[in-house]
Order: sequence, then C-alpha cells, then structure tokens
Amino acid sequence: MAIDPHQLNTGDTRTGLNLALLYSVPVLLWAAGVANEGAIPVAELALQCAGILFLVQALSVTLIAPWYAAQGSWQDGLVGLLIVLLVPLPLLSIIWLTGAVEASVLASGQSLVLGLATLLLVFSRSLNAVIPVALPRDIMIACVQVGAAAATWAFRHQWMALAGF
Amino acid sequence: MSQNLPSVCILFLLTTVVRAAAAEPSLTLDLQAAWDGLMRPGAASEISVRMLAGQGGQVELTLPDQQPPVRTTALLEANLPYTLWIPVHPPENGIVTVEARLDQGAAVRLETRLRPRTPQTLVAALLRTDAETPAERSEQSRTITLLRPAATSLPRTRAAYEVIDALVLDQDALAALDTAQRDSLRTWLQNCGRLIAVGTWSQWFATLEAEAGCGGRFIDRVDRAAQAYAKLAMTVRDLPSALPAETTLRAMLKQIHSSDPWLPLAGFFLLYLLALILLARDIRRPALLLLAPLSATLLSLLVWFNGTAGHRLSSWSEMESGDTTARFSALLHIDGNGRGTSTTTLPADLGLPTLLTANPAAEARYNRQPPMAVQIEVDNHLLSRHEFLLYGTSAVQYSLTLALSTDGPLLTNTGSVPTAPGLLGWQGSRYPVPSLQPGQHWSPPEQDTLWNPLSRAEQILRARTGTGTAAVLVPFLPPGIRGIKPQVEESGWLLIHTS
Repeated sequence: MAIDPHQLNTGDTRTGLNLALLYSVPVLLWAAGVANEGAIPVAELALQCAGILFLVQALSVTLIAPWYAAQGSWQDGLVGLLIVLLVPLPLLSIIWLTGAVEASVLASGQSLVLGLATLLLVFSRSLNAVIPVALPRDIMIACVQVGAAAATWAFRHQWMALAGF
Repeated sequence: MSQNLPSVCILFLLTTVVRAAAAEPSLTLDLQAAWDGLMRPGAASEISVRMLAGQGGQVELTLPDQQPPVRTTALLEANLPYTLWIPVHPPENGIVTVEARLDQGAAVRLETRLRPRTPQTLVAALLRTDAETPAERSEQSRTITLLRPAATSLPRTRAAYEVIDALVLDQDALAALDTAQRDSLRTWLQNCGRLIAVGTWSQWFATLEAEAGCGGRFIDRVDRAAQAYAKLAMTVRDLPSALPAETTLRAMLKQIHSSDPWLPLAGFFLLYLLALILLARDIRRPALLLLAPLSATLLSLLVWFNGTAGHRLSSWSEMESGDTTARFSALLHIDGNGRGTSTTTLPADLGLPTLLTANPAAEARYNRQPPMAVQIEVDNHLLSRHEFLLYGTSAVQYSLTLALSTDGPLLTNTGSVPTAPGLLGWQGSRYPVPSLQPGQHWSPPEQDTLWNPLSRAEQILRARTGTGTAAVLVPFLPPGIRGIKPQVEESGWLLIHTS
C-alpha cells in the first residue's frame, strides 16, 4: 500500500504525536528522576522503564486505534499509529544499550503492540462499515476503546509475559 | 554367515562401548579448604583442587557459585596429580562448587562445605612439629581456639589468612613451606598479621621480621611452644588500625573529576524532544515525521553502541614510620560507556577482589591464569558499573620518617630524593608540610591551618590524630595497582603514623 504524504490528514498525525509525547515524556522524566537519585541500579531501572513504556504504549493504542478508524482513511490511521509507536524508539534503544533487556524482547513487545493496534484498527473499520448511523457507531467505538483498554490492563501480566518480560 | 550374526553384533556392541569409554577422559577431583575448612563470614579463603586424569590434556576449572564466577585452566599430564590453589569468597552457606572439564569433555562437579568460625572467639593456627603436652592442651582450650593444619596446607594466597587471628609456627614447619606459601605468609605479615615464632630462627625469618607491617610489633618469638599460648591471648587483643571501608573510598572516588555519563543522554533526549515539537508545529508531510524517531534511534546506536570502559580507582595506604611496606585498601570502578568486554589485569598478590556492586545484566568473571594473575573480565553496557574492593600490601619507597618527642613531631627526609608536599595532623590540628630535600628536618610551625571539610582524606587524618598522636598524609598510589589500565583515573593517599 503506497502512502501519498500529500493526501494525509495532518490533524491525525498531530494527535498521534501529542499522544506519543503524552505517554513518553512522563516515563522519561520519571526515569531521569530515579536515575538522578541513584536509588536502584541502572539495569533494573531500564527494565522497569521498558515494562512501563510497553504498558502505556498498549493502553494508548487501545484508545487511539478505534478513534483513527472512525475518523479518517487507512493511511491516516496507519501513519498516526506508527507515530504513536515510534516516538519512544530512541528510549527503547538506550534501554537495549544498557543490557537490561534483550533486543528480541523489545522486538516482540513492539510486535505485540503493533498487532493489537492493527487488530483494533481493522475491527473498528469493520464496525464503521456495519453500522452506518453515527450515534450508535460512536457508542460502539467508545465501547471498543474502553473494553480494549480494560482488557489490556487486566491481562497485562499475561501479554507482557508473552513478550518476554 | 547367518550363524555368525549374533557374534558379530556382540563384537560390534563391545567395540562401541569400549570406544565410548576410551573417548571419555576420566578425571578425578579432590577439594580441600584452607584452615581445615573453617571460614570467617565475609572474608576470603582458599581451596586446593587436586586433579588426576588417565590421559593428559587441558582442564578448564570453573567456580560457578562465586560472585563473579572464577575460571582457570591447567595442563594435566597423564596419571600425574596436579594441584591448583584458588582463592575464594565462600558464600553464606559455605558451599564452594568446582566444575572441571578435561578437553571439552563432560563436566566433573564437586563441592566442599566450609564451616563458619564461632563468633566472638579467637582462632589461631598452630604449626609445630613436636607433640603437645596435656597441660598445654588444657591451657589453650581456655583461652583460644586452635587449628592444627599440616604445613603443606598453609594457604598460597594472603587473603586466606583473613580467616585466622594468629599463627604459631616453629622452625621445622617453616622449613616445610613452599615458595608460594612463604610469599603469602610474608605478605600477610606485611599486612600486620600476627605470628608467634617458636625456637631459633633462620635468616629468612629475620627478613620477614624486618619487612613486617605495624612496626613488627605483631611478631613475637618464644623459646618453647608452651609460652606461645600466653602470648597469643595477649597479642590478639591488640588490633592494627582499620583501613577505610568502601563507603569512605567511594566518597574519595567521587572527588575524582570525571565526565558524567548521564549528561550526553540528557542532552540527546532534550534535542530529540525539541525536534519533535518543532516538527509538530508545521506538519506538511506527516510521513516525514516518522523519520525523526528512526534517525534519533540510529544516532543513539551509532554513538553508544561501542564505548571504552572507564576505570576509576581510589586507594588508601597506611604504614608506621620506618616500615618498608604499607597496607592498602582500594576501590575500583569499571564504568561501561557502551556494549563491549573489558579485561583488567590485577597484581597477583591481591587474591580475588571483592565484587561489591554489579550491573545484573553485565556479567563479570575472574579469569585466573597460573601462576597467580587475576584478570577481571567485564561485559560492559551503557551506564553499567562494577565496583571491586581490593586489599593488599605494597612496598613503599617513601623516605619520610615521623618521630614524636616532647618537643612535638619531627619529620625527616632520610632518602636521596625530595619528598612530595603533604599534610601533618597533630593533636587535632592541621599543618601543611612542604617538599623536603634529602636530609632536611621539619617541625610544624606554631600557627596551624583550617581543615578542608570537603576532603575525606583530611577527615580521616583529623580523626586519627587526637591528643598525643601525629600522622602525615601524602599523595601516594601503591606501585602494584598503579597503572592497572592506561586510562585509569586514580586518587590515592598514604598515611604515615607513629608506632
């Protein structure tokens, strides 16, 4: 699927970037604060940081993916989701460089979140097609967002273990 | 042919079994811990590993339960016993495990359990060749716990002497010691170890006495073994001054100026966030925004993937005026600046350094290659840190003597080269000492100067120089640990005090 950058919705992209910054910056600031205190070893901090990052990333995706599906095109949704997922990538690379987490664990974690995002995007697009009326459709999308976020939180230990954490 | 088939099969099976048995080299191990298996919790000890194999080859020994694991190798000849002495840090449960592998064959695993010494008791090792009388036995049992190891089992590493409080040795037992045992005994005496010598002594013992630390006051000589027990009870209660603990050395290490590894990271993330915010202000091509995190990731990998480990070392040495050796404790930090393995070779007489803190993701190993060199191999990562505590003794070619008389302290340069400027602490006051020319004397002026509250070294000097005592502090690095690595950042002090 070729993406024509001129046709993309910049509003959706900005929303994705804002969301990515909204969850990445607090994690970064928290990690910097703990590192400055020197209370826990760097490797342990990096491991915790990676775990938190994946959790908030997955929660963010559960909220934004159905919204993207309801708002714009496939391309807008995909680029927006990629921005949500890619913004903390430099932080993940630093976590990998500290040796706290294997690259395979980080890769499988990212793949899981990406898979979840794609699944929600496809499911929500299908809902769009099935329910043509706006109000019930929006209610269903909201239900999908809340349900997916709740399930992600409730089964966090299971899916994070699946990723190798 | 069909009638011979069972015989052929049996023959084939037999041949296979014999071949398999011959292919697997037989290796037998025997472990013995120093001091009859007694250990002092938290202190080092030594184990001897005796190996015998039906066929020669390279044996790889691993002590997997040590923190960090210890590895060493030995070359075995067929049917010829070979013994290795390995310093160890016994864990709390006292179990030391050894795994041996001959020519990459199957691992032979053996363990020995060390027993902790009873708290609040004093332990002495007795090496005498004549028999004890019943009266002697009852005398010693009231005052001190005695071990009676064979002369051949005396440790080959100085650190193993940390288990005992004193050693009683007679001339015949001394004669039975090998070179490595004598060297470790000498190093222990330089480290203020307590020795009671029984009987008449050789020239070598006179040398030992001259080189001993703490002014030689922990070495006693008695004519008969029976007199040794009374001496023991007295001498073991006189303790040498304790060297600074790791917290003090850590504080001294922090005073070494070095670049903060967090600063470049903080700068990197700040710039990255700024770039994202700027890009978000005017998004004309949203897909281009994807390049920002990818570029930043690539940059971080380029900058921090490979990095040379940084070494920092702080040391504190102490000697009494007139001693030719000083005791030292040192703290070595190996800081990772990227992924990679660094190898640090330490002087042989340190035994095994104690690993205080480590990055759990960055493994460290001790690689001991005969005769006794210790290599610390560390798998470094970004921001990883390994902290090692070293104890040892070193020869001191420092010609500054300190004498204390009724007129006060007097410093003299007895050597042939000028001394470095230092600090004199006397009765709680601080006096800067200038560089002294050969033969020059120096006494403190009437006016003292203010202590530097930020200097840990000065704080220790101040604490050690109360009423009626004096000590001099000079910059010094033990020759043995000087230049462990070319890029090491070092800080060290020598405290010379009156006996």
